[in-house]
Amino acid sequence: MMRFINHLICFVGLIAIQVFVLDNVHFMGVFLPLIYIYALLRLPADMSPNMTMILGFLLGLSMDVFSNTPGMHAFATTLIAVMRYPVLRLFVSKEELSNKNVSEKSLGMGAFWKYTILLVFVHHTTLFILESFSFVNWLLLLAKIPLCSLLTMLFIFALERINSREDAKS
Amino acid sequence: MSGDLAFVWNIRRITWRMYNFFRFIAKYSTVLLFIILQSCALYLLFNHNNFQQSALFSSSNRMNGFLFSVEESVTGYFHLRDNNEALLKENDKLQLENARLKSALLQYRDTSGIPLLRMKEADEYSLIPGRVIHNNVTHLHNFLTLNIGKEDGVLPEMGVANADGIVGVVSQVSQHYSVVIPVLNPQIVRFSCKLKNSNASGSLVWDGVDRRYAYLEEIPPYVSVSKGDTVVTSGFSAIFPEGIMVGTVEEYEIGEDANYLKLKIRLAARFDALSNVRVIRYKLREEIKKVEEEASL
Repeated sequence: MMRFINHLICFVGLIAIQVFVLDNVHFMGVFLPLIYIYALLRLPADMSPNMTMILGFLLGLSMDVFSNTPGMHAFATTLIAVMRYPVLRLFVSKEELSNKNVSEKSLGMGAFWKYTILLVFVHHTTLFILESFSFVNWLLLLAKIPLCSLLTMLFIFALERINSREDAKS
Repeated sequence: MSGDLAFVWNIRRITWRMYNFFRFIAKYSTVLLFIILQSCALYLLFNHNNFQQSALFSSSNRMNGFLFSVEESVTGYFHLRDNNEALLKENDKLQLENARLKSALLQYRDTSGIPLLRMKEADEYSLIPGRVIHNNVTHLHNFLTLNIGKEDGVLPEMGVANADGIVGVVSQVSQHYSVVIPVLNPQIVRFSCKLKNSNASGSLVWDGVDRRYAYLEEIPPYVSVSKGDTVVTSGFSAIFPEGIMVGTVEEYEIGEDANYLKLKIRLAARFDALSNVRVIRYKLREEIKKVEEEASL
């Protein structure tokens, strides 16, 4: 139950930070971090794939509601929600995954970051391609995907530091 | 007897099929759910019509409007100084204009029988003041949320401008809030604009890169243009009246097919610091639309 509340706070908090703070932060006008997907990356590894997908869809949809882009974020987040478990299994054995939180500390530096980088990259690529469907500026798209991914990962790195510290305290 | 047996067999066959069907669903539930969710997302995405979309999935719904107005009540203070200066400037300008008009009026007072001002034109438009409570300039498809809605007389497809120049066009309206598609959105709106001194008109589009500049396309190549020329609205659509400031010419180049000029326009309105705006209500809009519809039939 505590874990559930913890994840709920994480969902709501990250969307609020994304919409009210980070959407107003922009490096060189167009590059911005999308940290709300961290809520999805952090879900427990043993959660059923259907549940993960529904949560991912809801996360994306609530982001869409705030940015007036119905379906865009929802599509990208559902995609990474479905890819999450297979990607985790790529880097971590089944025994290690059972009943564990997904974090840098529990999975180890290498595995966690490979997992994060892959999913963030897939998410951003999908999102930005969907975004520029009606209007294609290839150069901007090619610059946006790696640079925004990099910014997102910087923020996730910082959040991981905060999290691991709190784990150590408790 | 044999009839009974056939009946029992039939039931067994049907239950077996049902069982298989449910097993199939259970086995592929993840795939099915994935397909259903992604189809929902794509359905929402491609049925996203900017002028008629339902307000449920947009920031004009009540909860979002409330959250954004809370946000604005905090961040609104950050721009107070700039806004104050802008208002003072606008005030000075209006006072000057007022004084000039007054003196002009004095001059004409004695020549009776001549209609002094074109009052008719001034009566056709009215302004609804509003405040921007949420402003997005970082995305490709940007939007603004205003704290005024249907109750204040705002309707979709009305123009929005501030003291500096045009801002955008209203797309959705709820009871107390409205969503504006600014010039900084390459998707839908092509604002009809013209060069002030040559009257050549074209359409204004944003290329999705720099929020300070937009492009004026479809200007005939024989028109003489120089840097710093003023661009204003053309008044060809019912969204904006003629002559509202848009920006100034920054650069010009000949378009890809050499039949048209493409001008880079420095936008007059500063989109990253919008606060006080006016929604422009054109009183004869319904009439124009009706006539145009009849003509196109």
